[in-house]
Amino acid sequence: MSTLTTSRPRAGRLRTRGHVHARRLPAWVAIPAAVGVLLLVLPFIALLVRLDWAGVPEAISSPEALQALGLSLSTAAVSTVLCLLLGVPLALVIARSNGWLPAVLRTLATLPLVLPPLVGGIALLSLLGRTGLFGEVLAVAGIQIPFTTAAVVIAQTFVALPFLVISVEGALRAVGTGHELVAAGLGASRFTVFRRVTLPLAAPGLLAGTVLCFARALGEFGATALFAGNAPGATRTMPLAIYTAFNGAGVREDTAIALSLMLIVVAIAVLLLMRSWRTDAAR
Amino acid sequence: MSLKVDIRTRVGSFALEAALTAHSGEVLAVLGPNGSGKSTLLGTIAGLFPAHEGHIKLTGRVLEGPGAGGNRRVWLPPERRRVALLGQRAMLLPHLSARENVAFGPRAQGVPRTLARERAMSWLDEVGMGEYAQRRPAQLSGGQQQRVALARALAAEPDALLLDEPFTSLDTQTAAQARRLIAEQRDRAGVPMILVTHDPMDAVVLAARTLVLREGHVEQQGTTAEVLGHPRSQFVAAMAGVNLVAGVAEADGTLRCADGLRWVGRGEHVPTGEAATCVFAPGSVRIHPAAGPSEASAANSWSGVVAVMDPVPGGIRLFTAEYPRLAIECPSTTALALGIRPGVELAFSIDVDDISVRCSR
Repeated sequence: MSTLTTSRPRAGRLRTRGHVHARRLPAWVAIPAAVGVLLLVLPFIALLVRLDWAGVPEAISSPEALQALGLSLSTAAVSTVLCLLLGVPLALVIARSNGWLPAVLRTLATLPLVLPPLVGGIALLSLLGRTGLFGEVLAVAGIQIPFTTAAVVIAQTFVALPFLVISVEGALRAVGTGHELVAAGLGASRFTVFRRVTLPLAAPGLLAGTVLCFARALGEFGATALFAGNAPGATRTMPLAIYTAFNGAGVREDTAIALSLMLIVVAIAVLLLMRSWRTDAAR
Repeated sequence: MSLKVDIRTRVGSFALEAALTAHSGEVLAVLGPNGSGKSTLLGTIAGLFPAHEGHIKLTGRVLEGPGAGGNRRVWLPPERRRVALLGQRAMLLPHLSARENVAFGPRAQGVPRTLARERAMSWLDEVGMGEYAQRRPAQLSGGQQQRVALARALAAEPDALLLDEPFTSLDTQTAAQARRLIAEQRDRAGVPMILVTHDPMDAVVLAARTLVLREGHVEQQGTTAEVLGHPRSQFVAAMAGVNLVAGVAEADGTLRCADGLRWVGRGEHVPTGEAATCVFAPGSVRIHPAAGPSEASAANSWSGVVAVMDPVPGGIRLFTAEYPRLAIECPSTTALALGIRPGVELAFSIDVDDISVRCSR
């Protein structure tokens, strides 16, 4: 958490110190660390090398690709807002209550993180599908959720929520309740304390959580594929479009790679945006 | 205005029972070691934990206690108590400037922005921080932060101010400034203040009255002079940093202790055969090189082998193996001149005028 909240100049100082510190580590540590870096970086290099750059403009400007990108960005944005609305209060409850409740809630909140997203998709179908637990009720009300854009949003919210809850809860607990108690002593109502003390103090964690949450929603595939399907324009988000392009009949793999490049660019843009915000906040 | 507290409460497995009153324009010092219940006491007054029995009244308002008509207890939440807390750490809001921190209380209570800022500025001037109004807490030193925190507490116009070891994290010089500031505001702001501390000097400098807490109960309370000058137990004497010896008056006017030492002092006349106590400061003990083997028969003198040496501001405090309860303090120059170190035998004496005698009942 601390690395997420440090400002740029401080990070620089830590880097120098880290360098000195690294000399005291056993030398062999460098080998697995280097292999780790290679594992992270090499696939992307390979992707760039294999890319048919001439075909990129055509691949990413096709109506299908733009449609998928638009759908991905809009559903991920809606999911992120939903995660904020549900996740921040949940994080508050976990961070500020005592006894067994926070432990149980934290476990539940992290469940989607450790489960394969496919399992999440099946679980969502079992709840909201036509033959699911709420299926009949929904059918009577004339509401169909699976295989609609709403299903995409629900699936993304389901898998992304843990990222927000964990980040915000960690930030809230790191900040503690001292400032809140002082503020209450100055006559601030609970809502004023929340708005003017709790939220600003947890802002770095909130920001980091929001970005992670958005990125996770953007990349969501498994639960979406099962629960929302792969209908162009309605549920075919970027990951599904990439999968379709990769496996689809008559479509070249290059299209899938070009689309992947697009998703990588979006992800990097989001990370850079967060970095600049963080530097502003530190000032 | 006055703050009246009479509570019996329990937080976790810790039980606290305390009755005290702090008047406006007065500091009541609460002395006690860690775990004596100081923080529980302040937390209960501030409304962080409920008291199970008893009441807390602040200038006619019941913060907590039996309800007027029904059997439900009254319990005001912290934000409605008008009790401000100044702790060990300044706890300024890091995302707000010094001025906005001080304006926080007035703003939270509905004062318009401009007026709240004006009020904040005048409080910052009051604590000598006017020129730092635009600084963020991270750009201020610990002492400056604590001054802003005091301004913030007072700007909220509380009916009582709770000070929880506010000088502990400051260096000596800054702490002295902060004490002066508190003394000024004690006289000017005219609200009851409770100062929790483990340093008897805080009580001496600031508080007219002192209360000593021990394991959740009040061990002794009274005027600071009385409590620190005449502790009624070894525990309070240790808190006050003085030596307390108890004995029985002999026919020759000396007080004989169980350990064989005899004492003569000033103060109350003690009838022969009655129990009495003597109090003296560790610093008023004179130290001499050991003259010879066992001549400890004279009153107000004894000898012993140095067993423990602790640093204290300006010098050292030592205890002998023979009389481990008697603390002796001397300037570091004296310690060096006499070659004081563990294992050295020394003779000690004290002036009759430096011992205060009091009957035990």
